[in-house]
Amino acid sequence: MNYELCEGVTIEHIDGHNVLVAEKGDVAVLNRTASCILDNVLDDGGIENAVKSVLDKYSTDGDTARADAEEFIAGLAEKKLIKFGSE
Amino acid sequence: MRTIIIPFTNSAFRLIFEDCTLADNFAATFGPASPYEERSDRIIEITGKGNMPYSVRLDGKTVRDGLSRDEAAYSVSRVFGDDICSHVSASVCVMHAASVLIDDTVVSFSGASGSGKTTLSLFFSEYGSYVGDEYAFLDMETGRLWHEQHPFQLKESNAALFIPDIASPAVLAVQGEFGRAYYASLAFTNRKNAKHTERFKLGVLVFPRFDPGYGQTVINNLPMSKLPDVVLQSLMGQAPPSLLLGRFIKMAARERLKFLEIRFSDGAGAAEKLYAHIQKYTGETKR
Repeated sequence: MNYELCEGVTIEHIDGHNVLVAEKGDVAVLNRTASCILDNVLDDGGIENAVKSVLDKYSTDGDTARADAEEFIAGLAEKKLIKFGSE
Repeated sequence: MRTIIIPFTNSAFRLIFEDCTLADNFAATFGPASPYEERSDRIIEITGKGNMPYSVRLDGKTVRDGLSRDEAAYSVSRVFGDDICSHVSASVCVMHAASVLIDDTVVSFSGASGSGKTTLSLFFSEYGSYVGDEYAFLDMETGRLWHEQHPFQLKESNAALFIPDIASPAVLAVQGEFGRAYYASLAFTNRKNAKHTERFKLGVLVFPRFDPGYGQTVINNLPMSKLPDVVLQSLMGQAPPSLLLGRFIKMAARERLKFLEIRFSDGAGAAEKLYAHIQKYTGETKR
Protein backbone atom coordinates (compact mmCIF):
# COMPACT_ATOMS: atom_id res chain seq x y z
CA MET A 1 0.00 0.00 0.00
CA ASN A 2 1.46 3.34 -0.96
CA TYR A 3 0.56 6.87 -1.91
CA GLU A 4 -0.65 7.69 -5.40
CA LEU A 5 -1.87 10.74 -7.25
CA CYS A 6 -5.58 11.36 -6.99
CA GLU A 7 -7.61 11.04 -10.15
CA GLY A 8 -7.23 14.05 -12.43
CA VAL A 9 -3.95 15.12 -10.82
CA THR A 10 -0.80 15.38 -12.91
CA ILE A 11 2.78 16.36 -12.25
CA GLU A 12 3.93 19.07 -14.64
CA HIS A 13 7.53 20.14 -15.08
CA ILE A 14 8.27 23.85 -15.43
CA ASP A 15 11.71 25.41 -15.32
CA GLY A 16 13.14 22.45 -13.44
CA HIS A 17 10.35 22.40 -10.87
CA ASN A 18 7.55 19.91 -10.37
CA VAL A 19 4.07 21.34 -10.14
CA LEU A 20 1.10 19.27 -9.03
CA VAL A 21 -2.01 20.28 -10.93
CA ALA A 22 -5.51 19.02 -10.25
CA GLU A 23 -8.18 19.19 -12.93
CA LYS A 24 -10.42 21.04 -10.53
CA GLY A 25 -7.81 23.72 -10.13
CA ASP A 26 -5.64 23.09 -7.08
CA VAL A 27 -1.98 23.73 -7.77
CA ALA A 28 1.10 22.97 -5.66
CA VAL A 29 4.56 24.11 -6.70
CA LEU A 30 7.17 21.80 -5.25
CA ASN A 31 10.67 22.82 -4.31
CA ARG A 32 13.53 20.31 -4.56
CA THR A 33 13.02 18.88 -1.11
CA ALA A 34 9.28 18.50 -1.66
CA SER A 35 9.89 16.85 -5.03
CA CYS A 36 12.34 14.45 -3.42
CA ILE A 37 9.79 13.47 -0.76
CA LEU A 38 6.97 13.06 -3.24
CA ASP A 39 9.10 11.02 -5.66
CA ASN A 40 9.87 8.60 -2.85
CA VAL A 41 6.38 8.17 -1.52
CA LEU A 42 4.96 7.73 -5.03
CA ASP A 43 7.69 5.18 -5.85
CA ASP A 44 6.47 2.97 -3.04
CA GLY A 45 9.30 4.04 -0.80
CA GLY A 46 7.01 5.44 1.83
CA ILE A 47 7.80 8.14 4.34
CA GLU A 48 10.80 6.21 5.68
CA ASN A 49 12.60 6.25 2.36
CA ALA A 50 11.60 9.84 1.75
CA VAL A 51 13.18 10.86 5.06
CA LYS A 52 16.30 8.86 4.27
CA SER A 53 16.58 10.46 0.86
CA VAL A 54 16.19 13.95 2.32
CA LEU A 55 18.87 13.19 4.93
CA ASP A 56 21.19 11.96 2.17
CA LYS A 57 20.80 15.17 0.20
CA TYR A 58 20.32 17.89 2.79
CA SER A 59 21.88 18.72 6.11
CA THR A 60 19.08 18.33 8.61
CA ASP A 61 18.31 16.00 11.49
CA GLY A 62 16.07 12.96 11.28
CA ASP A 63 13.28 14.29 13.48
CA THR A 64 12.98 17.50 11.51
CA ALA A 65 13.07 15.67 8.18
CA ARG A 66 10.39 13.24 9.31
CA ALA A 67 8.14 15.99 10.69
CA ASP A 68 8.51 18.04 7.50
CA ALA A 69 7.84 15.04 5.27
CA GLU A 70 4.75 13.99 7.22
CA GLU A 71 3.39 17.52 7.27
CA PHE A 72 4.00 17.93 3.55
CA ILE A 73 2.34 14.63 2.63
CA ALA A 74 -0.60 15.34 4.91
CA GLY A 75 -1.02 18.73 3.25
CA LEU A 76 -1.12 17.20 -0.22
CA ALA A 77 -3.60 14.58 0.97
CA GLU A 78 -5.78 17.29 2.52
CA LYS A 79 -5.84 19.11 -0.80
CA LYS A 80 -6.78 15.79 -2.41
CA LEU A 81 -3.73 15.86 -4.64
CA ILE A 82 -2.50 12.48 -3.39
CA LYS A 83 -4.20 9.62 -1.57
CA PHE A 84 -3.09 6.58 0.34
CA GLY A 85 -3.62 3.23 -1.37
CA SER A 86 -7.18 2.53 -2.46
CA GLU A 87 -8.83 5.37 -0.53
CA MET B 1 -25.07 65.14 -27.19
CA ARG B 2 -22.88 63.04 -29.51
CA THR B 3 -23.11 59.40 -30.46
CA ILE B 4 -20.33 57.31 -31.94
CA ILE B 5 -20.39 53.63 -32.80
CA ILE B 6 -17.38 51.46 -32.00
CA PRO B 7 -17.33 48.08 -33.71
CA PHE B 8 -15.53 45.30 -31.88
CA THR B 9 -15.02 41.75 -32.98
CA ASN B 10 -17.94 40.38 -31.03
CA SER B 11 -20.05 43.40 -30.20
CA ALA B 12 -20.53 46.97 -31.22
CA PHE B 13 -20.84 49.81 -28.76
CA ARG B 14 -22.98 52.87 -29.12
CA LEU B 15 -21.30 55.57 -27.05
CA ILE B 16 -23.53 58.50 -26.18
CA PHE B 17 -21.64 61.52 -24.89
CA GLU B 18 -22.76 64.67 -23.22
CA ASP B 19 -19.19 65.98 -23.44
CA CYS B 20 -18.30 66.56 -27.08
CA THR B 21 -14.57 66.82 -26.33
CA LEU B 22 -14.55 63.34 -24.87
CA ALA B 23 -16.59 62.06 -27.81
CA ASP B 24 -14.16 63.65 -30.25
CA ASN B 25 -11.24 61.99 -28.53
CA PHE B 26 -12.87 58.58 -28.55
CA ALA B 27 -13.84 59.04 -32.18
CA ALA B 28 -10.27 60.02 -33.04
CA THR B 29 -8.94 56.99 -31.17
CA PHE B 30 -11.27 54.46 -32.72
CA GLY B 31 -11.77 56.04 -36.12
CA PRO B 32 -14.87 57.59 -37.60
CA ALA B 33 -18.37 56.36 -36.93
CA SER B 34 -18.81 53.31 -39.04
CA PRO B 35 -21.56 51.51 -40.91
CA TYR B 36 -21.78 49.09 -38.00
CA GLU B 37 -24.61 51.02 -36.41
CA GLU B 38 -27.09 48.28 -37.00
CA ARG B 39 -24.81 45.91 -35.08
CA SER B 40 -24.77 48.09 -32.00
CA ASP B 41 -25.87 45.96 -29.09
CA ARG B 42 -24.33 47.71 -26.09
CA ILE B 43 -25.08 51.26 -25.10
CA ILE B 44 -22.67 53.30 -22.99
CA GLU B 45 -23.83 56.70 -21.83
CA ILE B 46 -21.29 59.17 -20.51
CA THR B 47 -22.56 62.28 -18.80
CA GLY B 48 -20.59 65.14 -17.31
CA LYS B 49 -18.73 68.09 -18.74
CA GLY B 50 -15.38 69.72 -18.19
CA ASN B 51 -14.42 69.48 -14.53
CA MET B 52 -17.86 68.34 -13.42
CA PRO B 53 -18.14 64.73 -12.16
CA TYR B 54 -18.80 62.18 -14.86
CA SER B 55 -20.97 59.11 -14.71
CA VAL B 56 -20.88 56.05 -16.93
CA ARG B 57 -23.94 53.90 -17.61
CA LEU B 58 -23.97 50.61 -19.47
CA ASP B 59 -27.21 49.39 -21.00
CA GLY B 60 -29.13 51.70 -18.71
CA LYS B 61 -27.36 50.73 -15.49
CA THR B 62 -24.81 52.91 -13.72
CA VAL B 63 -21.29 51.48 -13.90
CA ARG B 64 -19.62 54.24 -11.91
CA ASP B 65 -20.30 57.85 -11.11
CA GLY B 66 -18.53 60.79 -9.52
CA LEU B 67 -15.63 60.24 -11.93
CA SER B 68 -13.03 62.57 -13.33
CA ARG B 69 -12.83 62.72 -17.12
CA ASP B 70 -9.79 60.42 -17.12
CA GLU B 71 -11.57 57.96 -14.87
CA ALA B 72 -14.65 58.04 -17.09
CA ALA B 73 -12.55 57.27 -20.14
CA TYR B 74 -10.81 54.44 -18.30
CA SER B 75 -14.13 53.08 -17.08
CA VAL B 76 -15.35 52.90 -20.67
CA SER B 77 -12.22 51.05 -21.75
CA ARG B 78 -12.85 48.54 -18.93
CA VAL B 79 -16.33 47.92 -20.29
CA PHE B 80 -14.73 47.02 -23.62
CA GLY B 81 -12.34 44.69 -21.80
CA ASP B 82 -15.12 42.93 -19.90
CA ASP B 83 -16.94 42.46 -23.17
CA ILE B 84 -13.88 40.83 -24.70
CA CYS B 85 -13.61 38.38 -21.80
CA SER B 86 -17.26 37.44 -22.06
CA HIS B 87 -16.77 36.11 -25.58
CA VAL B 88 -13.75 33.86 -25.18
CA SER B 89 -14.14 30.09 -25.29
CA ALA B 90 -13.33 27.82 -22.37
CA SER B 91 -9.94 26.90 -23.82
CA VAL B 92 -8.91 30.54 -24.14
CA CYS B 93 -7.80 32.85 -21.38
CA VAL B 94 -7.27 36.57 -21.57
CA MET B 95 -4.08 37.91 -20.05
CA HIS B 96 -3.46 41.49 -19.02
CA ALA B 97 -0.32 41.76 -21.08
CA ALA B 98 1.58 43.48 -23.87
CA SER B 99 3.33 41.36 -26.48
CA VAL B 100 6.23 41.61 -28.88
CA LEU B 101 7.10 39.14 -31.61
CA ILE B 102 10.78 38.15 -31.77
CA ASP B 103 11.52 35.91 -34.74
CA ASP B 104 8.65 33.44 -34.54
CA THR B 105 8.03 33.58 -30.81
CA VAL B 106 6.08 36.01 -28.68
CA VAL B 107 7.49 37.61 -25.56
CA SER B 108 4.63 38.85 -23.39
CA PHE B 109 4.88 41.33 -20.55
CA SER B 110 2.29 40.86 -17.87
CA GLY B 111 1.53 42.74 -14.70
CA ALA B 112 -0.72 45.19 -12.98
CA SER B 113 -1.15 48.76 -14.14
CA GLY B 114 2.00 50.68 -13.33
CA SER B 115 4.28 47.65 -13.45
CA GLY B 116 5.91 49.00 -16.60
CA LYS B 117 4.73 46.35 -19.04
CA THR B 118 3.66 48.86 -21.68
CA THR B 119 6.81 50.95 -21.33
CA LEU B 120 9.13 47.96 -21.44
CA SER B 121 7.27 46.28 -24.28
CA LEU B 122 7.44 49.43 -26.38
CA PHE B 123 11.19 49.69 -25.92
CA PHE B 124 11.50 45.95 -26.49
CA SER B 125 9.58 46.25 -29.77
CA GLU B 126 12.71 47.84 -31.24
CA TYR B 127 14.04 44.30 -31.45
CA GLY B 128 10.96 42.78 -33.06
CA SER B 129 7.38 43.57 -33.95
CA TYR B 130 4.78 44.97 -31.62
CA VAL B 131 1.80 42.64 -31.41
CA GLY B 132 -0.51 44.40 -28.97
CA ASP B 133 -1.25 45.66 -25.50
CA GLU B 134 -3.77 45.24 -22.71
CA TYR B 135 -5.60 42.06 -23.68
CA ALA B 136 -3.67 39.05 -24.93
CA PHE B 137 -5.74 36.04 -25.94
CA LEU B 138 -4.04 32.76 -25.19
CA ASP B 139 -5.30 29.42 -26.47
CA MET B 140 -4.27 27.03 -23.70
CA GLU B 141 -4.60 23.99 -25.94
CA THR B 142 -2.11 25.25 -28.50
CA GLY B 143 -0.04 27.80 -26.56
CA ARG B 144 -0.76 30.34 -29.30
CA LEU B 145 -1.38 34.00 -28.53
CA TRP B 146 -2.97 36.95 -30.30
CA HIS B 147 -4.25 40.42 -29.53
CA GLU B 148 -7.35 42.26 -30.62
CA GLN B 149 -7.60 45.97 -31.09
CA HIS B 150 -8.04 47.86 -27.89
CA PRO B 151 -7.19 51.38 -26.82
CA PHE B 152 -4.68 51.60 -24.07
CA GLN B 153 -3.70 54.26 -21.67
CA LEU B 154 -0.32 55.89 -21.83
CA LYS B 155 1.03 57.51 -18.75
CA GLU B 156 3.08 60.66 -18.79
CA SER B 157 6.16 58.56 -18.12
CA ASN B 158 5.98 56.88 -21.49
CA ALA B 159 3.89 59.32 -23.50
CA ALA B 160 7.09 60.73 -24.97
CA LEU B 161 7.55 57.45 -26.77
CA PHE B 162 4.51 58.30 -28.83
CA ILE B 163 5.54 61.74 -30.02
CA PRO B 164 5.89 61.06 -33.74
CA ASP B 165 9.36 62.60 -34.08
CA ILE B 166 10.94 60.18 -31.66
CA ALA B 167 8.40 57.39 -31.67
CA SER B 168 9.19 53.76 -31.99
CA PRO B 169 8.70 52.76 -35.62
CA ALA B 170 6.20 50.20 -34.38
CA VAL B 171 3.94 52.95 -33.15
CA LEU B 172 2.30 54.87 -35.91
CA ALA B 173 -0.17 57.17 -34.31
CA VAL B 174 -1.20 59.03 -31.24
CA GLN B 175 -4.81 59.90 -31.42
CA GLY B 176 -6.81 61.39 -28.64
CA GLU B 177 -5.90 62.93 -25.35
CA PHE B 178 -7.71 62.68 -22.07
CA GLY B 179 -6.33 65.13 -19.58
CA ARG B 180 -2.93 64.03 -18.36
CA ALA B 181 -3.12 60.62 -19.91
CA TYR B 182 -3.27 59.54 -23.51
CA TYR B 183 -5.24 56.82 -25.16
CA ALA B 184 -3.58 55.60 -28.28
CA SER B 185 -4.70 53.42 -31.07
CA LEU B 186 -1.70 51.51 -32.34
CA ALA B 187 -1.43 50.50 -35.94
CA PHE B 188 -0.01 47.19 -34.86
CA THR B 189 2.44 45.62 -37.22
CA ASN B 190 0.18 42.64 -37.58
CA ARG B 191 -2.78 44.74 -38.43
CA LYS B 192 -0.81 46.79 -40.90
CA ASN B 193 0.17 43.58 -42.62
CA ALA B 194 -3.39 42.29 -42.48
CA LYS B 195 -2.23 39.37 -40.36
CA HIS B 196 -4.01 40.39 -37.17
CA THR B 197 -5.72 37.05 -36.88
CA GLU B 198 -2.39 35.24 -36.94
CA ARG B 199 -1.59 33.44 -33.74
CA PHE B 200 1.93 33.22 -32.46
CA LYS B 201 3.64 30.78 -30.16
CA LEU B 202 4.10 32.23 -26.70
CA GLY B 203 7.68 31.58 -25.63
CA VAL B 204 8.52 33.89 -22.75
CA LEU B 205 6.33 35.54 -20.14
CA VAL B 206 7.97 38.49 -18.40
CA PHE B 207 6.73 40.06 -15.19
CA PRO B 208 8.20 43.58 -15.02
CA ARG B 209 8.59 45.79 -12.03
CA PHE B 210 9.27 49.41 -12.83
CA ASP B 211 11.19 51.03 -9.99
CA PRO B 212 12.23 54.61 -10.83
CA GLY B 213 14.83 54.84 -8.08
CA TYR B 214 16.42 51.46 -8.66
CA GLY B 215 19.13 52.62 -11.05
CA GLN B 216 19.86 49.22 -12.58
CA THR B 217 18.25 46.31 -14.35
CA VAL B 218 18.03 42.90 -12.77
CA ILE B 219 16.61 39.90 -14.63
CA ASN B 220 15.86 36.62 -12.87
CA ASN B 221 13.98 33.46 -13.54
CA LEU B 222 10.64 33.85 -11.82
CA PRO B 223 10.71 31.84 -8.60
CA MET B 224 8.20 29.07 -9.23
CA SER B 225 6.67 29.60 -5.80
CA LYS B 226 5.44 32.96 -7.11
CA LEU B 227 3.99 31.51 -10.30
CA PRO B 228 0.42 30.76 -9.15
CA ASP B 229 -0.08 34.20 -7.63
CA VAL B 230 1.36 36.25 -10.48
CA VAL B 231 -0.47 34.23 -13.11
CA LEU B 232 -3.76 34.46 -11.24
CA GLN B 233 -3.38 38.24 -11.12
CA SER B 234 -3.31 38.53 -14.89
CA LEU B 235 -5.62 35.75 -16.13
CA MET B 236 -9.23 36.28 -17.03
CA GLY B 237 -11.68 34.06 -18.80
CA GLN B 238 -14.88 32.09 -18.67
CA ALA B 239 -13.69 29.42 -16.25
CA PRO B 240 -13.06 30.00 -12.53
CA PRO B 241 -9.56 31.39 -11.87
CA SER B 242 -8.28 28.17 -10.28
CA LEU B 243 -9.29 26.14 -13.34
CA LEU B 244 -7.66 28.70 -15.63
CA LEU B 245 -4.49 28.47 -13.57
CA GLY B 246 -4.38 24.68 -13.83
CA ARG B 247 -4.88 24.76 -17.59
CA PHE B 248 -2.32 27.52 -17.93
CA ILE B 249 0.31 25.54 -16.02
CA LYS B 250 -0.27 22.43 -18.11
CA MET B 251 0.12 24.51 -21.26
CA ALA B 252 3.24 26.18 -19.88
CA ALA B 253 4.82 22.81 -19.12
CA ARG B 254 3.88 21.34 -22.50
CA GLU B 255 5.12 24.39 -24.44
CA ARG B 256 8.19 24.84 -22.22
CA LEU B 257 7.28 28.40 -21.46
CA LYS B 258 9.98 30.53 -19.87
CA PHE B 259 9.11 32.85 -16.97
CA LEU B 260 11.23 35.88 -16.12
CA GLU B 261 10.98 38.78 -13.73
CA ILE B 262 12.72 42.04 -14.40
CA ARG B 263 13.21 45.02 -12.13
CA PHE B 264 14.22 48.17 -13.94
CA SER B 265 14.26 51.94 -14.02
CA ASP B 266 15.55 52.64 -17.53
CA GLY B 267 13.26 51.19 -20.20
CA ALA B 268 15.69 51.31 -23.10
CA GLY B 269 18.52 49.76 -21.14
CA ALA B 270 16.25 47.13 -19.67
CA ALA B 271 14.90 46.19 -23.09
CA GLU B 272 18.42 45.79 -24.45
CA LYS B 273 19.47 43.63 -21.53
CA LEU B 274 16.31 41.56 -21.73
CA TYR B 275 16.76 40.97 -25.44
CA ALA B 276 20.32 39.74 -24.87
CA HIS B 277 19.11 37.52 -22.02
CA ILE B 278 16.40 35.95 -24.14
CA GLN B 279 18.68 35.49 -27.13
CA LYS B 280 21.18 33.68 -24.91
CA TYR B 281 18.48 31.48 -23.44
CA THR B 282 17.02 30.74 -26.88
CA GLY B 283 20.44 29.84 -28.20
CA GLU B 284 21.07 27.47 -25.31
CA THR B 285 17.65 25.86 -25.77
CA LYS B 286 18.23 25.30 -29.49
CA ARG B 287 21.56 23.65 -28.77
